[in-house]
Amino acid sequence: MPSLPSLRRQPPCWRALALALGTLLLSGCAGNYVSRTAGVRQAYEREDYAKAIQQLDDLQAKEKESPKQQDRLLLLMDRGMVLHAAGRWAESIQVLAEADRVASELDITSLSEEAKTLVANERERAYRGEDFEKLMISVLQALNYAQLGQDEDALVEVRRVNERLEKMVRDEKKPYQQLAIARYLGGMLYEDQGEWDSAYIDYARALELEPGLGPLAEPVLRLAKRTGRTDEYEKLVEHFPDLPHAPLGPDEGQVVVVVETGLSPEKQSQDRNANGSSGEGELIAVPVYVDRGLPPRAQVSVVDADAGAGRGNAEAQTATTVTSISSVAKVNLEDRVGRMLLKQVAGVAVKAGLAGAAGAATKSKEVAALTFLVLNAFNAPDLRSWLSLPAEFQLARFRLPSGKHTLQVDVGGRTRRVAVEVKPRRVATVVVRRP
Amino acid sequence: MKTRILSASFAAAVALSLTACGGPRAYTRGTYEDPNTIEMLSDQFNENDLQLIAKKMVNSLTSSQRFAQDASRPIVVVGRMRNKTSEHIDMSSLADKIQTQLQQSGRFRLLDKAAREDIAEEYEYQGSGYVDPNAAKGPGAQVSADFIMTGEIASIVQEVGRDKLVYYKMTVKLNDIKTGIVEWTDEKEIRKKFEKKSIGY
Repeated sequence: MPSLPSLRRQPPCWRALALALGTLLLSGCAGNYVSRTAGVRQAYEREDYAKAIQQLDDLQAKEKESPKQQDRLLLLMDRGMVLHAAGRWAESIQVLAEADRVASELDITSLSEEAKTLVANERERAYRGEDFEKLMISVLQALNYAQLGQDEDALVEVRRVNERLEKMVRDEKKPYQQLAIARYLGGMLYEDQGEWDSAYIDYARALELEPGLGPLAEPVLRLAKRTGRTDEYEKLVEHFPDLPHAPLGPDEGQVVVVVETGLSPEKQSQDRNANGSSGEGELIAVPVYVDRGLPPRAQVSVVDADAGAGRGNAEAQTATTVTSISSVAKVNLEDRVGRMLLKQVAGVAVKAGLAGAAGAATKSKEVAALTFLVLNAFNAPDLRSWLSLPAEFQLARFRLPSGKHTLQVDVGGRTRRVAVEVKPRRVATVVVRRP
Repeated sequence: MKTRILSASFAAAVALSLTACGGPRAYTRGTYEDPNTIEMLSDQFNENDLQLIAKKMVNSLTSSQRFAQDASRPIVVVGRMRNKTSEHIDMSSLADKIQTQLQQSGRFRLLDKAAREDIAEEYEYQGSGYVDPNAAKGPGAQVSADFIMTGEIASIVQEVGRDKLVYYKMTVKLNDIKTGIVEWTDEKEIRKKFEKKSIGY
């Protein structure tokens, strides 16, 4: 690297070129978050959450030493998810709340960062989070609060998800739809609080979003009848003629088990034509989401002594998928690809301009060509994402007599038992994460 | 060379514009729509909002037709204040503020709902044998509340272009515990406007 006084004597274009090359070299040294967190993910997938958190702590300590902190948001999201999976709800709340604040700060478009990514690459900028990832912060927060018995705070998060999604669709014209899991959670929480109308509205909306709810649609029928929605009730009965939906008995409560299964898809590089297709023409690398296996189907059963015939669902119940994060992620990223391509094309033009300037300054076509090649050498899509998210939210629903019960959750050959206390006419939530 | 530089600059400007258009916004500063302009550093419910609500409610209650001339100092317990917004608002803090201002008004006597558990524990201790039985204070001698105060805050958020409007409505009511009749109710509305900051340097 030339000394600063020497650099000052060079023409402005040379200074720009030197600065660009220096930036590229530094970005090359930044490392890859995905590779650096491989150990975390291995521990996480083994459900060794303590080790995963310890490794995240080490990474976070190193991140704080970096002036850029490009992966700050990812570290917070991963840590919040691991704490959630470990059942450390209160700690997860704190971490995810900070992640939410950081995500809001990063929503401000930085001109300097945008200019940098035109010449360098997307990995140069601080990771901002995909739209669905930011929404997932609130979904997980709602579940965290629900596990702590803080229904009101849980509902705040549910409302946040719904409002933010509506804004994305209405103002930003994004091709998203409401998350069925958020709506269904809202229904559960409202029902637990005895707010039947609000509960019906959210359950019904969840059913619209996910018509395949199957047995999970039971509260829609029951509450339609309870709230006097005669017409809606008749239509529902026609659609679900065999679905039991009797009113709850005086000593009867409900449990909804939320099973977070599988692993969210990961980003991989794919070449796309500048116009967005995968056909011939000038190819530009963009990230696409690829599934990581098929999420296992959860089986949930009541295994305590009270779960005899007529006193509960002794047989295992297959959990129903309410929201597929994989599907949501793909829609989310595909919406962004178009803008990425336009930006990439613009970036190529900027680099061509810089290369041309270098060539003109040196009166050498070879320098121009070499500069262009160097500027494009580090051009790679940003493959970072929140890899600790589940692939699916699956739910199972039970009516049980009030008192203490033990539930068994079987996912992918692994078994977990959870104790839950059922109160009359209340809805208890049980959250289980099986990576 | 100038043509190339101009071309590159134009391409950069287009890219930045597209990115700015596509990305969400953040809010960092706003003002009240009320006559009193107050600087705010976020678009969230804040302590000043808390104060505005408490002040309005206590003033309204103490000057109401039902209680303005009541010299009996009725006993009030502040019950649940519910949060129906999409923000995490410390409702217990709001309840405490209302309770404090009611007490300071001198027009009411207050029972502290949160202290009841502590008092019950103290009764158990005083009856455990460590305390002179003749000196034990309870249970069985507490006064009963005449009225219970409850409330609910809701919000509506409207975002159009670069503007964000947040509307809060806090409704509070006082019910006669014996009859259930709503003896007083009022609401406080707060409307705040923010401008989005979309680009920083």
